[in-house]
Amino acid sequence: MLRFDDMPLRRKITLGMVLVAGLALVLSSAAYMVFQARLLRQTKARRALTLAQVVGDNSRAALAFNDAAAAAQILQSMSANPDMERACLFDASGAVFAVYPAGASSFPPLEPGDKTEFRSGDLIVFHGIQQREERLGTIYLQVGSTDLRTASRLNLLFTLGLLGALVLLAIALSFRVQRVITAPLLDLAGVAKRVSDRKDYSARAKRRGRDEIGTLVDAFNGMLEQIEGRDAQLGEYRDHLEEQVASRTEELFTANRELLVAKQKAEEVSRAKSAFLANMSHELRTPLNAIILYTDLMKEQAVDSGRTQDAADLDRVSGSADHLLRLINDVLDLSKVEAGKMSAASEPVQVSAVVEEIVHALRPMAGKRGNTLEASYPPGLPPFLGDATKLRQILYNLLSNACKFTENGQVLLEVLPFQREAAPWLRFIVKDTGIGMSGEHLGRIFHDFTQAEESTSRRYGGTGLGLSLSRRLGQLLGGNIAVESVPGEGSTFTLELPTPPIPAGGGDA
Amino acid sequence: MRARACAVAPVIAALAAPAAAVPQSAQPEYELKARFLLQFPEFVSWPPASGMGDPARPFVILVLGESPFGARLDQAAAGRKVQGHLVEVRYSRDPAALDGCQMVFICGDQRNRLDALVARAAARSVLTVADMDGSAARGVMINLVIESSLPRFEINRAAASAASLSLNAQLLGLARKVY
Repeated sequence: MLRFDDMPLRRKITLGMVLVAGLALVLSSAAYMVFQARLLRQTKARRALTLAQVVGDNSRAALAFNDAAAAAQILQSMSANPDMERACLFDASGAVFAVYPAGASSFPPLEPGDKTEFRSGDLIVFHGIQQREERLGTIYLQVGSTDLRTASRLNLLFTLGLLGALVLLAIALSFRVQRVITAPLLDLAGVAKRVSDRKDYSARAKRRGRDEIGTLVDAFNGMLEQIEGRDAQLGEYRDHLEEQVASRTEELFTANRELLVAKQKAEEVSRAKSAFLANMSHELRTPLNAIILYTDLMKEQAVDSGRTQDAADLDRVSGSADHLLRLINDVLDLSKVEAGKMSAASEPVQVSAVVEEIVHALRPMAGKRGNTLEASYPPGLPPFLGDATKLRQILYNLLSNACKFTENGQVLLEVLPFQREAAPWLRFIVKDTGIGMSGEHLGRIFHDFTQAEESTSRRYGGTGLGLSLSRRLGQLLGGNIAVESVPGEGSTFTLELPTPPIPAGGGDA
Repeated sequence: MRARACAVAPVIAALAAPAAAVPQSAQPEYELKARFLLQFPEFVSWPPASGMGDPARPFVILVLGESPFGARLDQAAAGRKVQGHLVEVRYSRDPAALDGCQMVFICGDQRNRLDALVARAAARSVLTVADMDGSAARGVMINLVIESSLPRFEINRAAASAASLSLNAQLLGLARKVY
């Protein structure tokens, strides 16, 4: 059995029409039959009552003059009515006076009042026979209702026949109706199938009318048009895209080539600059060393000869020369790093020795500004393979910076070992309680010749190359330097370095 | 003329058997006959001139001659109505009493002047009833007879028509004989 939802539209329409027509017919037939049956019964009852009245009236004289034979004769006229089962006349005292058919017996007792009613299929009539005010007797009729049953049966047969005819008619009609409805739909379905099977978006469904299906067809065609238009556009894009990609690739290629040339040029320039700086620094350092040496000699002579004014002046000359020498050294180192001429040594390094040495060297400088300088490191740190000179240089830079920017505070150097990617590393933390820096300055301090503020160099001295150089040296050693700072509370510089262990049996302790 | 000739024979027969016609007031037969008497007018139509148009007037039944009913007729007629008129029973031996009544019962002792009475009643549209053998043939409109111990009647339709009275077909249907 097919579910209604799955049935073809054709059958749905047919079924629907048959159902509606059948239901309407069944309902109307049922109503008609009930009505008809009622009417028939009423008619029958009325006819029986009329008969009772006529026969009763005709029996008046027979009753009045007590002539039972005559009464029986009159009742005999009932034989014209085939449904008449029994009839009788009761006289005024209620006794049976005459009967029909002749010899009939066992009549029900006389009931008071006139009655016309159906009792168990038969129509029963009690009708009084009056002679003016006097009641002469009562006539009783018992009428069978086979005619009613026959009529009902005929009615039912007729209705069933009509129902059959109507169903056939509905089917025939629905074929015509469904053609009107389904033909355009089937058309549309066919076009839709063609479109989906062959991807042929140029197909169009035919519209037959301006009803809902017509609207559907229009919408469908509109949709196909849009898809077709979009397809065409996409095709155009695809063709263009290849051209565009080719031209962009060409442009990129050219730009790349230009960039490469520019880079080479820039590197050449940079190398030339570094070479120039390295040479210049070297050339500058030689006479400066002579100046420092002779200034120190002259100062010793001045002190020895008691010319204190001269000694103080020479002291200033010596300080300035020292400063200049440091500047030149920094520039030289920086340019060496940039020129790629600086290389890290690979020798055994004893961390505790380096730390103690630096702290010892810087303590007087820290004390000058009222700072305490402390170092802490875990005991028994093993020596590693590295460049002690460069490590010393970095730590010196960081610690002297911390001392420089702190007054009456604390400077702490902490060394912590840790593991990174299964290799031993050391973390050197330089912490001060100095002036600190804002976030804006933190980004700039590792640049060449830059201090946190313009005013800084005037107030604290320094070349502005220290941090930049330290970072480059750190990178040269395979590590890095990071900084955190809160303005007014201090700064923390962290140097992380790989500390490869010394291979067994290699090097000297 | 033929009707007249026919009417003679029963009269002779009735005269031959006077004892059978002698009413006996104690017989229950007269109770039935009294009731018949009160039923007959319902099946008879009087001409408009007979005074039946006025419901206020009584329906007068005259018992002419020596009444065989005793008190039975009075009892049966007490408070009874005929065609809407109250029934009044009068007893008389005087044929003049026929004036103003609608129905007369001619008792057996009036046999000798039956013809004159019949003629007089017909002229006044009075329904004539008797229980004398052969009286119907002599012009009495309804004659009561006994048939297997039940009262029945004969009818002289011509006499009724002559008196401008019309008898109901049902009544005629019950008559044992119609003249």
